[in-house]
Amino acid sequence: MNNLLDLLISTLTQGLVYALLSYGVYITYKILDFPDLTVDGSFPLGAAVTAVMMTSGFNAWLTLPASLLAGALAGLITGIIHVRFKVRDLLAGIITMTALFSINLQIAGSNLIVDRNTATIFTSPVVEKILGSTSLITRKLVVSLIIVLLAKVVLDLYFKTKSGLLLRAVGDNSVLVTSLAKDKGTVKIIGLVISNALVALSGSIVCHEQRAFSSTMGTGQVVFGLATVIIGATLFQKFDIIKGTTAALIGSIAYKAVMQLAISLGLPANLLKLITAVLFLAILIFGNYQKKNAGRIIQKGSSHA
Amino acid sequence: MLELRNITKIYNPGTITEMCLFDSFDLVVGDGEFLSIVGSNGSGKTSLLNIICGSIPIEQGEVLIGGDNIAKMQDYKRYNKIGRVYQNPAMGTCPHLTILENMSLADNKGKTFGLTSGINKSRRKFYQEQLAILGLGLENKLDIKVGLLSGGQRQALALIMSTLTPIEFLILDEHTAALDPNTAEIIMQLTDKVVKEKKLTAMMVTHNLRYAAEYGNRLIMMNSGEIVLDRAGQDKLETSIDELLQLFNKISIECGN
Repeated sequence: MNNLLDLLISTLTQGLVYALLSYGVYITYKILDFPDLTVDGSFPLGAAVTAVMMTSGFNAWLTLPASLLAGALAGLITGIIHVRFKVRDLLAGIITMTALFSINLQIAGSNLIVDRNTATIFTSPVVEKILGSTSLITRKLVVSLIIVLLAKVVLDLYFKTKSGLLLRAVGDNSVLVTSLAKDKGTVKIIGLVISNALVALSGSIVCHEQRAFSSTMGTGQVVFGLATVIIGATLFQKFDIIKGTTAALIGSIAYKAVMQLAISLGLPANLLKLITAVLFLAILIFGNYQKKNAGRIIQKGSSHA
Repeated sequence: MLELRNITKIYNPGTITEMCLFDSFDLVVGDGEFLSIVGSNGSGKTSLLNIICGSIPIEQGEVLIGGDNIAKMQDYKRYNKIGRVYQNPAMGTCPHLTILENMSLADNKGKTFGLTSGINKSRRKFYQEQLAILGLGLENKLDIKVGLLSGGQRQALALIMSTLTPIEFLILDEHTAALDPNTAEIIMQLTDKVVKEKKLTAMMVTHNLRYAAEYGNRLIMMNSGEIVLDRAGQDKLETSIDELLQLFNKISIECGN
C-alpha cells in the first residue's frame, strides 16, 4: 500500500517538474505557432549548468536562476537565427539544438553525477527546516509543486500585461502587430526567450531530482512537450475558462501517469519511445476529430453572417 | 501631406521576368484628401500602397510623409503614422482575442507594450462609444472572441481599430472586396463617416467604380504604373460612373484584357 502511494507521489512529482517544460512549449507551439526544437537542447542545458554548479559547491538554489538565464540565452539564439537571418522556424531550432549538444558536454565536461552529500533544492537547509520530518519524496512533491505553481502564476499574470497581449497577438495575426507599429520579430524572440528559460528550469529541477546530468537526457523532450500541450488543449477544448498553462500542467501529469502505468504493467523500457509516438499520434487524431465536430457547430451557428 | 517622388519599382530585377511597374512615378496627396484609386489588375494600385507602407522595396525614389523621407524606414515603424485596413477581414484583428483585448491593443499603438496591465478598465466606456459608431451592436459584445464575428463585423472592427489612435494616413486596400454587397455598402458608409468624423487623410484602392465616384474628394485611375485620370474637387463631383466605365473599358481593350 505504501509502495503504491509512493509511486503515485513520485509520478505526480514527475508530472509537475516536467510541467515547466510544457509551459515553455505552450508558449512557442500554442501562442507563437512556432515549432521550437531548441527544447531538446535547452532542457539538458539547464541540467548541465545545474550539475556543474552543484559539483563546484554553489548553493543549490542559485542553480535555478542560472538555468533560467542559460535557457533564455538558447532561446535568444534560436530567435536571432530565425528572425534576423530569416532561417525557417524548424531549422533555426534544429541548429541551436545541435549546437547545444556539444555545448552541454563542454559545460559539464562529461555525464555528471551529483554526490550524495551535496544538498539539492529538495535537501537544502531551508527545506529541511520547514519540512524536516517528512520523507524525501514528499519534500520533492512539495517543492516542485511550489515552483510550478509560482511559475504558473507569474506566466498567467504576464499574459495579461501589454507585453503578454502583444505576444498572444503575434501568433494569432502577425500582420496586426506590424500595423501596431511593433516589430513582430522582436516579439517572437521574447516568446522564445521565455519559453526556453522555462524549459531549462525544468531540466535543472530534473537534475536536482535525479542527481545527474546526461548528454542524451534531452532526446524526445520536445515531443513530450508537444504531446502534453496537445493533451491539455484536447481535454479542455470546450472549457474556455481553463487557462492554457493549467491545461499544459494537467497534460503533463496525465502523460507521466500514462507512462508510469505502462511501465507498471510490465512494458519493456525499450518500447517507451514507441508508446510515446503512438500516444502522440492518437491524441492528434482525436484532437482533429474533435475540431472537425466543433467546426461544424461554429459553421452552423454563423451561417447568417 | 504624402509625397511620392520619382519612384522606380522593378519586379524580379535581373531575371528574365523583369518587369518595370513604376518609372519616375510622382504623386502628392494633400492633408484631408480622401483619394480613391481605381484601375485594372496589375495597374499598380496595391503596389502603390505597399510602397507607401514599406511592404515591398523600391529601386529608387522618395516617400515623404510631412516632409520626412521614409523610403528606407522599416515597415513596422511607418505604421506609427499609418493605419491600414486590408482586403481580408482576418488581417486587421486577432481571432483568438476578445473585442476588448483587440481594442486595447489598438489603443496602445505607438506606446510601449510593457508590463502594465494589458487592459485598462477605465477605457471600456471609450471603446463602447467608438464601437457604437458602427451601429452593429459590437459595443455589447466586448468580451466575446473576434473569431466568432462575421467577416463584415470583423472588417468594421478593423476599421475602428486602425483609426483608434491619431494617424496621419488611412490606407484602405480593397477593404470591401471580400464582403457581400450589403455588408460592403455598410462598411463603405462607415468608412466615409469615420474619415469625416476623424478628419483623416485617406487612400482607398477599390474595384468598385461606383464607390470611387460616390465617395471621397479625389479620384485617380491607374494603368501600367501611370496615372491616366486625376480628378479633384468640383471635377471629381461631376465625374460620372459611366465616364469612368468608358475610360476603364477603353484602357482594358488597349491592354488586351
